[in-house]
Amino acid sequence: MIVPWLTLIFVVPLFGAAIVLPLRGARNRLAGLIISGLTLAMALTALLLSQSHNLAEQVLWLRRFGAWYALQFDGLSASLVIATAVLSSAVLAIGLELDTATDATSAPTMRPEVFTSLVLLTEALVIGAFLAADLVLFFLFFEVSLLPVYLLIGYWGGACRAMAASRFLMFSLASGFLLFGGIVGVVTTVSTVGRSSTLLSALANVEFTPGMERLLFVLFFMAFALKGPLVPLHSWLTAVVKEANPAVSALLIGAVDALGGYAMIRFTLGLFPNAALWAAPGVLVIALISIWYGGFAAVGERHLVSMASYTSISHFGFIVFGIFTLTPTAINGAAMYLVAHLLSVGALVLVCGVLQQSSGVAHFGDRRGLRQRAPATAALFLLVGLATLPLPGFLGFAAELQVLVGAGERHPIFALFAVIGTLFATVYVTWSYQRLFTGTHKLDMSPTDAVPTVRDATTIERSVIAVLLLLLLAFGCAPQMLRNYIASAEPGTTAVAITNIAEGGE
Amino acid sequence: MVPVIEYLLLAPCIVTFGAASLSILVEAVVVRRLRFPVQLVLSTTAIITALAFTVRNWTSADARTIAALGALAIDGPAMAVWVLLLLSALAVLVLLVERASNNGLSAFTSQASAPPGSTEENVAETTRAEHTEIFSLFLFSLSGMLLLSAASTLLSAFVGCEVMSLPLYLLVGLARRNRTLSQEAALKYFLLGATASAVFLYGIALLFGAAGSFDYADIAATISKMRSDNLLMYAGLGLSTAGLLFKLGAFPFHAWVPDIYTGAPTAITTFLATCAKIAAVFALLRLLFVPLGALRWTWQTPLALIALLTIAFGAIGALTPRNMKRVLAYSAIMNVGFMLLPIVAASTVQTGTLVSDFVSVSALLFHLTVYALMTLGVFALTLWVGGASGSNSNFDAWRGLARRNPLLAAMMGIFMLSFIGIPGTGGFASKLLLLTLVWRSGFAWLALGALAFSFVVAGCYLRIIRLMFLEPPADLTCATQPSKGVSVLVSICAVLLLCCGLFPSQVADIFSNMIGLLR
Amino acid sequence: MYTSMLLMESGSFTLLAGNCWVLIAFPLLVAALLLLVRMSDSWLYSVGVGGVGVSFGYAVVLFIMMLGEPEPITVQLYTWLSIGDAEVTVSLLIDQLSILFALLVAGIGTLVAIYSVGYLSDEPERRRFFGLLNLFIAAMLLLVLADNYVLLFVGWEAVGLVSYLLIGFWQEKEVAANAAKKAFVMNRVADLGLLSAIAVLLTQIGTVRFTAVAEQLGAVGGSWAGVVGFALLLAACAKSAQVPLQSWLLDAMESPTPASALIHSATMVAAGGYLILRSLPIYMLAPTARLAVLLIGVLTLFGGAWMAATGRDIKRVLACSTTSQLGYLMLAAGLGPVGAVFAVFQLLTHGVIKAGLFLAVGTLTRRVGRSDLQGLGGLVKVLPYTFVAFACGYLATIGVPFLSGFYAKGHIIATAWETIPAFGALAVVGVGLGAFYMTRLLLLTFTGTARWQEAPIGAETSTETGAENRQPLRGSVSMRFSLTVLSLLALGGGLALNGWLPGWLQPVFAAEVSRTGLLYFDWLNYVTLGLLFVVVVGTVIYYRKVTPIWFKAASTADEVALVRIGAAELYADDALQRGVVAPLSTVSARVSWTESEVLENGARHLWRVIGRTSILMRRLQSGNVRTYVLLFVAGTAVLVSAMLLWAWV
Repeated sequence: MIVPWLTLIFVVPLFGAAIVLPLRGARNRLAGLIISGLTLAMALTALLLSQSHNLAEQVLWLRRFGAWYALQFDGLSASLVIATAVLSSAVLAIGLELDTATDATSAPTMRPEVFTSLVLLTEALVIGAFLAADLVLFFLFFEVSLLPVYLLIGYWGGACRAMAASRFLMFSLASGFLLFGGIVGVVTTVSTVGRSSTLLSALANVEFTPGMERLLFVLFFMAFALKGPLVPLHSWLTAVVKEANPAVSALLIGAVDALGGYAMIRFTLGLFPNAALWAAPGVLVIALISIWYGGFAAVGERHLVSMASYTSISHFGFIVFGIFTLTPTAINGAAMYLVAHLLSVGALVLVCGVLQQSSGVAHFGDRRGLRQRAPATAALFLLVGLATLPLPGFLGFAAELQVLVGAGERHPIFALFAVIGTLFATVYVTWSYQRLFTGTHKLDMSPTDAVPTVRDATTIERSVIAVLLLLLLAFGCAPQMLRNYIASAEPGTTAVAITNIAEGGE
Repeated sequence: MVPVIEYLLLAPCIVTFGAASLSILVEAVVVRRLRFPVQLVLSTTAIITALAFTVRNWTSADARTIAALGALAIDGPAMAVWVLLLLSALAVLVLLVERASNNGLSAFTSQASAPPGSTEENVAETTRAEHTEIFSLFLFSLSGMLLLSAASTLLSAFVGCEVMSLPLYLLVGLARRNRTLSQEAALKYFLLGATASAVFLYGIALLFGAAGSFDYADIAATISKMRSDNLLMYAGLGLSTAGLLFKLGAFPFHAWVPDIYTGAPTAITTFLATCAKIAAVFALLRLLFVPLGALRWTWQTPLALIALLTIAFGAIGALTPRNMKRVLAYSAIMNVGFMLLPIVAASTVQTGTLVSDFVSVSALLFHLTVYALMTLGVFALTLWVGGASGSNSNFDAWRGLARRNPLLAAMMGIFMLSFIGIPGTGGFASKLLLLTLVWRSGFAWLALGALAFSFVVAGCYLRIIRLMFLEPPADLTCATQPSKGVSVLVSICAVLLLCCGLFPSQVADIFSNMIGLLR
Repeated sequence: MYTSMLLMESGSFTLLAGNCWVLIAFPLLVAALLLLVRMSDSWLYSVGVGGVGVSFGYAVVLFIMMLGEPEPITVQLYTWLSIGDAEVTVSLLIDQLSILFALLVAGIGTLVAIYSVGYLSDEPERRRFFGLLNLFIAAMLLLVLADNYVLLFVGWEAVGLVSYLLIGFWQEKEVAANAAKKAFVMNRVADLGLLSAIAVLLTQIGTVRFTAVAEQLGAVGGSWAGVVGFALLLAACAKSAQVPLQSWLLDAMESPTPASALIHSATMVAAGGYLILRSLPIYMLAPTARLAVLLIGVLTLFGGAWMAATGRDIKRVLACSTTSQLGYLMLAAGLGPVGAVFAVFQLLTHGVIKAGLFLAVGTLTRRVGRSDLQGLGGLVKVLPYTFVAFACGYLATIGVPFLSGFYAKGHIIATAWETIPAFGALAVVGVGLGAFYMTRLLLLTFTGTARWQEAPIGAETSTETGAENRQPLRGSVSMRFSLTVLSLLALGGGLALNGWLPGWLQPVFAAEVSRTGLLYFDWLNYVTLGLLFVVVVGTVIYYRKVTPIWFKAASTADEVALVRIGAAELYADDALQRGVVAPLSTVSARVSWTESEVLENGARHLWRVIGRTSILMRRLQSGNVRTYVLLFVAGTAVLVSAMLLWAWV
């Protein structure tokens, strides 16, 4: 009996979300963790199985539009699924206390049990989106995953979290409608061709007229640039992250935004290669602006977690830069960078969350000299900061090098600017470390103060962040296996096709 | 020679019309106390038997003829629409008799003739007098709709339109709460309705003048033969379309919709929003496809413009009003815009027959089903949550609903998401179907414009979702417990909507096995 | 020689070299143990020093075995990453050059560790210091033993990170934190050069291994060699604190003195020179880049000397002298293969001497409690042993005959004179300057009246200066041991290396070196010695007369412009501040303003506009039938006319 492994991967957290609801208190969080761990285990077994035989599933869903319920498990989506499972388990395990509403005026928010189930729901839907091999199915997961995140932001956030939540949903819906327009366009062109199917494999060899392809490319690109986000369309992320609970922000910045990058490779590049070639220079400029703007803004930002969100914007700019250099190495690098970004920025936001919870520091300048009272948090903050740098030895560096070399082949000057852009990370990581941890403790003057207002990271928090760091370090020191696995998904082949056209064209 | 009337085919119309007249008789004869239950039983049985007849006709494949001496085209689509109309009418009936949500009193005034605030009104209130004429008016209007949607000649279309509208003018004015507002709405509706009928009739006259016959088939034949410079024909086309567009509430003629929808009692607003629109849009489809199909080049682009502007006005209008029913009115206008899309998406082949009429019709029917489900569900919920404050259902009643009654909030959430078009709900499937159809027939700008405005209106729906889920409840009084009927209706609508969203193909297949419009 | 022959037969060399990754892994393990694991302090010292000692012992055994074995060994561990068609592997290269550096790093590391046992005996955070020390040794060995540029880059950044952590060791001090941040940022920004060089190599010739690059880069035409050369020079300048980028090294003196001794004087700063030496074939292909190296070398030589001559703090003066000595190294490296041999010579000797000097200064500052020259003086009587150690270092640096400094600088001056006479002359003047500032330093610290007071015993502050004024110096045995070893090496090192080193490095640089005789003298040496003698005597006379009054009226205003510029470290810091940091912070402030103003309510504006149209539209719903009917009729008219128009057109 063939076990539908892929469906199981996202169904387990889906039903887990329902099972977890009735449980109370610590049991609830434990159950959530177990389910998330189970998902990770399922993903890993699927990974092993996929080496030997093909796990893809395909069932007809909407006959009228030719939409299939199709799941696939190639290198690109597998690594992201596993990374999402890891990040969600980390978010659940770290268990930041939920009602961090800074002011008392906000009414009592939802029961904490709902938090676990909503996180599991988001995890299930995001994993579903990564697995989807059909455009319409992807769109289903892409849109529906917004709702649990909307509630997560809305219930456990700062003072005006309701406004932040609806701002998040509005911007994400904008990206959703752009994608909807793109899908309508694709379905029309496909259905006129006779047997219509929105399967990715079928769509790959559909011939679009140049004008239509460019229109659809712009729609898809705008949708995923909004999701990413890229600079001109990013104001929602920083505003939302200021209000949301750091654990929710970690999930949002890590997993949910990774969807944008993944879809950029899989759909925007996969379906419209010629239009990608036509738009590449423009997109590269946008990506560079995004990198530099993200860097500058992060240096100037006062709120901790939104500084991390600017890192993510800068990283996403680098990923888009890698994708649109349209060389196989750069695309592989960008895909690997996606995984590195998911883990490293997720960890950074979680550390900021731990800091906020343990010492009530949400903005730079709230407190100084924390290292005296919280050395472990200081060490973790520094290490995670270095991982997002990326310091060589972490996964980010391997990916950045690939993108740099890939870009160097065709756009050396752009590549140079991109790398200079990433140097901002050094400035704001060290500067933020200094503003928070060094110097003497300004508030309670003598370090041996009786009231320990600042506590160090608890063992759970330390171990969760340590696991993420170890993953980044392990894959940083031996990225070859991950590189081969992502390359096997040949996101690069479309690029090879394009580069041939490019060579031929130019 | 003896006129042959296919009684079996016409049974649904006959049954509803007969029941309506019977109910007038009941009004006169039955003693006051028993009148309400008798009327209720009469109208339910009437609708159910009509439904039974239609289904029987539909299942027996051969029954496809221009019945009643050419007056009615009982063909597959017509029967499908009839089924839809009768089901929606049944649902509206449930809302009509709803008493529990406004503490035991019927939503209708006890004595319509008593001037508001007068002593007679108080006397009628205390003696708990009842207007049970609403049932007969309701049935008359329903039979008019059946007639309108199956009309095969211009005259029968006009008659159906009038029979539908006149009882509605009355029903709109019978609201119990702030009667002056509802009486004013009724008057407005009547005046505008009358103008529209005049325009419609004038259009029909011009069409008759140009084509020499009322029958759709003859008109189609004369048009395909005549030269294109016959101005009379185009004027008639314009005027008759305008008349029908008013009944729909499309862009230039939408001004009445918000006032009448807020003025009328909720049950009647639902009736207006669902059944009236379904009948009118189908009549428009049949009018434009069958007789005037050859003139597609003339009416297709203006109609596309009207559709886009309707969606635009509905969307922008829905953003700022503070009253739930007004918001739903504007979203109804917007959905009319979407209903026009399949008609716009007609693409003729050289032979003049609308090859894609089959696709447009089934797309329209699928959208109408989803629309009906959404609207019935939302208005029923407004009735339920509005509770005692049924009429002034401003947003306070909805604030923090998720904390008070999570199931209710979840269902309202499903309806709102379906209005927005989130995949997984019916709204998404119907939008995808319509927009693909429109884009394929060359109106890419219309499809993208429609999407852009549906993004704009999403803001308004989100405000409602935010009110329910994220805002703290103003007062913790639980939503009043409605009668079982309304709660059953709402849950059925929600469930059906979800399966329309998740398995649209199966739902669409029901409509696809009928053959196209009868000539 | 005999032992190496013995070991050679048993083939154990290949075995030992085979897993030379233990050299790196062991200190890394110890560092992890010290930094992460909670353990009792009792055997902290043994573990800390042991980690470094074991790797030193291993290196020595390897070195001895290599004496007989001319062939360099490449140990391939695993493929790190295949980028495009290029294959980047994690592999270590044991050849003559890298084993020398390994010895230098591990040797001085061990001595510094031993010294720190005494020096930091009462520092609460000493566990972290020893952890970081071991981490540094591991990182530096990785850098030195790396076989390709990417692995070298990983070691390079890791070393930068450890120097950041050590400079900011005492994080309570705001100055230290600032210095640490500055060092790390400057190094990483400059490492952009190394990263882009790697990228160019990978794109152009698809390999990053030193040997392969040497062969294939020539084949690739165009100015790629020049580009790579300049890129590497940028990174080397930052790491070796050459003139334009030297301000971070001077601030780095905030770190504990043993750390300064090991990292900021002997080993890490030499990494820049090592990089240039390793990529010598690239510079042979790119004459312009080589010229740039020479220019930077000379510039730094004079710049460093100038700053040292006017320095106010003893550690900053030594740091400036390190910059100047590294200038010599760059100059030598730029002179081609022959110069490279003597660059290594200079590097080794300078490392030993400067480590000795710094450790002496460490004992001195710990005893006196302050390190600014104004507050020292008359320490000969108080710290005789330290004076002797310092004097040995002093004599070796200024180039007294038969000491290591003399040989190192002598050879460099001779080769410089042969290739470019002007640079040779400048080098000689440099020696003179060096003599001046070292003598000034010696006089101001050790001779004259004591300008410092006995600090009251028991003043408990954890900062470095405070920790120092203990009476008497506990743990001075370990400090003395290191000082003696380093002083002896400083004195005898030159002699040992002079004859042997050119022969040893022949396979690496393929340079025929003629002047290797021990007692070799020619006219150039005489000139330098004469200049040396004159300068030393002049300084002694000058300072004997001037010191008492000079410090009292030490206001900067009336000073000679020359001194004022020197004291301000050639305004490099202010240039950096105004040229880079200021514009960056204004731009980021501007960006965060646009962020909060423009974008934040950008979306809100859009939404308000839509809202306003909606209100405007609602006004259309006036509620009276007149408007509705009017709208209705107008609509019909428009519709009909559209239809007619359409049909007509």
